[in-house]
Amino acid sequence: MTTEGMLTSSSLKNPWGRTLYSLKRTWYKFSRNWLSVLGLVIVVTIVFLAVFAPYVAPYPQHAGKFVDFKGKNQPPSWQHLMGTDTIGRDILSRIIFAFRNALLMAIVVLAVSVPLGTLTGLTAGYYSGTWTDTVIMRVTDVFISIPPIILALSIAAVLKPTLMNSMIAVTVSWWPWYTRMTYSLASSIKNEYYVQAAELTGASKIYILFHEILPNCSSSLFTKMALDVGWVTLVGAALSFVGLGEQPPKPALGTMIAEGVERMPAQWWIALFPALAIMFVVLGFNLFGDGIRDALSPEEA
Amino acid sequence: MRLGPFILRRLAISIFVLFGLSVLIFLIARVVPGDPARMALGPRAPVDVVERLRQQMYLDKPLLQQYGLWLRDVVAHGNLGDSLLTRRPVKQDIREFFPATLELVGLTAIFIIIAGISLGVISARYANTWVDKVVRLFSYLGIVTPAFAWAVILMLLFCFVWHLFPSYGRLTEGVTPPVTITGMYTIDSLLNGRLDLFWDAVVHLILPAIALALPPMSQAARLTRSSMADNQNKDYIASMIAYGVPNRVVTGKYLLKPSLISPITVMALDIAATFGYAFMVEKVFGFPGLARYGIQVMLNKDVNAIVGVVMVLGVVFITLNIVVDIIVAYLDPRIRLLGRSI
Amino acid sequence: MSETLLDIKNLHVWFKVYGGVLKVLNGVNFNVKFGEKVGLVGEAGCGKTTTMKALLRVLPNLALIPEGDIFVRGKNILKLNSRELADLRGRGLSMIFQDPTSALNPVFTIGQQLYDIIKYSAGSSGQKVANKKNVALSALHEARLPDPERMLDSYPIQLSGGMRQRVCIASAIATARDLLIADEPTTNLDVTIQDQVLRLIGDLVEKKGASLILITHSLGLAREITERVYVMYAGNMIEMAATSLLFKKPFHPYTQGLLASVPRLSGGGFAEGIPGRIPDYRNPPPGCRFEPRCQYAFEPCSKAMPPYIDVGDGHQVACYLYQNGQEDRKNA
Repeated sequence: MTTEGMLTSSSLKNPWGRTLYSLKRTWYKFSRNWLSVLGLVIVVTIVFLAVFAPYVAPYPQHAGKFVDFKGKNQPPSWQHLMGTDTIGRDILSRIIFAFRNALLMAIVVLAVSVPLGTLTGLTAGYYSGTWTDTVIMRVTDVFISIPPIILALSIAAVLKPTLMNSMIAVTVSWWPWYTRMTYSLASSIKNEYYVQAAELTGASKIYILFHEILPNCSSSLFTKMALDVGWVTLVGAALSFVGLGEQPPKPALGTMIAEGVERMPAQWWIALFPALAIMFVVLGFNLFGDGIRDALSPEEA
Repeated sequence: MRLGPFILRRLAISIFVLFGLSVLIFLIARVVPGDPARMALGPRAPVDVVERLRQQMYLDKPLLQQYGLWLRDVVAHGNLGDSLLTRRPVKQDIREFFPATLELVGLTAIFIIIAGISLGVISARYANTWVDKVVRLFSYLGIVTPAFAWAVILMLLFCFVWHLFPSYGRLTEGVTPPVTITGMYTIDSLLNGRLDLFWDAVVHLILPAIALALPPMSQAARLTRSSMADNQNKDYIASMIAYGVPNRVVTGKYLLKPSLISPITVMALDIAATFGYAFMVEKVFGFPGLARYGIQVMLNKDVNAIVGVVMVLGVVFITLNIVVDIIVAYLDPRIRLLGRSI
Repeated sequence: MSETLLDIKNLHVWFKVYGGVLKVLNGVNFNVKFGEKVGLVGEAGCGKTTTMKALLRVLPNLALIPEGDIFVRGKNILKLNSRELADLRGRGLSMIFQDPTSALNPVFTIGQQLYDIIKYSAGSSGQKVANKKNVALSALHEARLPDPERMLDSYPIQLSGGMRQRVCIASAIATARDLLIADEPTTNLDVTIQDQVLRLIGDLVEKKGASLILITHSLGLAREITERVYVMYAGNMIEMAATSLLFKKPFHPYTQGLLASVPRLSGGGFAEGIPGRIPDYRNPPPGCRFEPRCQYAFEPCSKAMPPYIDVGDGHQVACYLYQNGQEDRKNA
């Protein structure tokens, strides 16, 4: 089916048809790379496991208060595919439940930092060269000059260690990166002719920001968001590794690794499987994010 | 503008940022719920002892005054206060632990730069052949595997399966460290002329450094490769080739330099971030570094130490940023002449 | 043979892209004699630059040459290894690119780039430093650039577009002996500078007695400087003649269409364009590639690419209309 063929079909005559068409085309570009599809599969798996954890995990009760000293420190077997930890809990089940917290954290962090960062970045970028720009970007600089993980650690450390607080900590250190990205995009887009045309015809600033500039940042934004789910999970695991985050007995990937490290090398599975689980998450969202970037990028001649 | 004024401008901005950072961390540390003095002394200490400590720490004064007093202490006397945990001056704690982490990150940085760029160049040179595909696969795995996961894997493989490397500490147990000059065992042992100590220190550093280096190194390799591939088709390269400039000169000089700008910027960010991830690797390998100390003081609400650690790290990052800005300005004249690229 | 500098015979170039192969060059024939000024005219996307890149062996990795030969000074360069190539390239071949901004490496000074060009274009023997500087300075001077000394230490970003293009010409001045390829040298420049640059190129070629390949989509430009012109369409040379002959009496329907689309200052009426678009290189027409747009197309046109037909005075056309040696077009 040639491009010409698709363009002249009647499906384009109504808005739904156009959306469907661009979705189809995006999917086509996405699916050409098997790695991206693999990423999608992994992402869907993780989401599925997280959402349906109580029904999918082999030993759901192990994710809560549970001890079974008789069954402790079992190496991987058919009953416990990933073995048990020091107080007899099934590691696989705990990992599945840990995915829940990981995804929850990613969603919350991004839900706050993306709008906040994007808005500040858009504003600073559009008004670049003015006082607004300087103020916003210098403040952002203070946050950016410290790598996210250090900042998140410091903030989480002074607050009480709970999941909510670690989410706050990560959010605070995350939004500046969106500001910076949107800022550089917006300040170059605002010089494009279509923006100037909109200004000339008297469009309001809000309209320009949201209808002219923002849509052109969307592909970078979506790509970064997809990749960030993986990275936020990583930072979250780093926090729980030191005990800042979800408290035991609730399962968290970082905590599990920390426990496992104490037991190396004899009970190697306690540390290894959660580590591999984090790899799995990061890998999946990375492949997925790369695929999105390829799918949303404009065609080359 | 030339290089000189450019550096000065960056320095001025950095001092401002450092200042802002100090305010930020000071606020955070002081906003701690709970009473630091009480926490330091424990629940059974008598009230008047706690009160005395509070006065010592200026905790009874208004916030702004606290900040001013703290600033004076730091800048005029270099006094960061005493750690509530170790009961020693924070400065001393930092002096003991910081070089260890610095050593570790230093070796990591060397790995990142050398391996990252080399792999990227090789990958670009043999683009689309099996060499390239292997390197790209390996870099991808490197990127998605976090440093501490590598630490676990490497430790399992190289310490326990094949007994090649030690898994704990900076030196083998029982060995006395070299006379302290910089605090970094590698450099000190060389300065002391003790090659055996040098080797021992290095051997303890290798695995943690590799674990920390793998993700950023893979990222750098990928960026170098894509940068070179992008620039490969530019007219200025074709022009050089057309004029008969040999391939090795074109690749090694005219292709490499513009392609390094992007990877170096990212590498610098990654090296700075490594200070953060270092704590996980330090914990896995039982390495007594600043990162590990930092975590401990954070968990224990040791406010003086927290502030001290964050400020030290802040200075390190900002210095790193400046160094990178200078390097990039050297590499890309557009930046130092126009203040921007393109 | 010894008076032919460059001879491209039946060159095919394909690009491997995701989802197929772009058959860009479809049997290109092109030759240049020593000291001759040849024009290569065609619209954007017809393969002009690709032909030059093939000549210089700077095609991107995804290109392959399934068929054809390129002879430079009698040697088939497609069969040389990279060292022999470097040797051959250096000696006397220079190229001026369309976009002067991307033709100069932004992170090196003009001087650094010029020195290396001068050093290596002499073949494998480098020249002494003092010598290089003088050569560079005199070349910059000849290219009418102000303050050559300061120019050597400047970066491309500090120069205007016209100056950058003149730096490129200076590199050509410093090294050109046998051949200068100018790929749309004035397209990205202001009109006021175009003339100067063109004159510079013309002078350069005259003085060195070098050959010139001028690539352009502007017919007027070709007419001014060249002795002989090739017209290219969609990967084929479809017409070739001495310049004056071509413009006086174009034979190929495409050439006629091109000339008719130039707006005339006098005589009134709008210019006519040529309806249609260049073919999709993934699925090019099996016969003459112009056939879908040609108003005179008839039966043999869609079967196979027409061969070159001599219509007198060295004027060649690749069109079935003339297969009997004269115009058959009224038969269509």
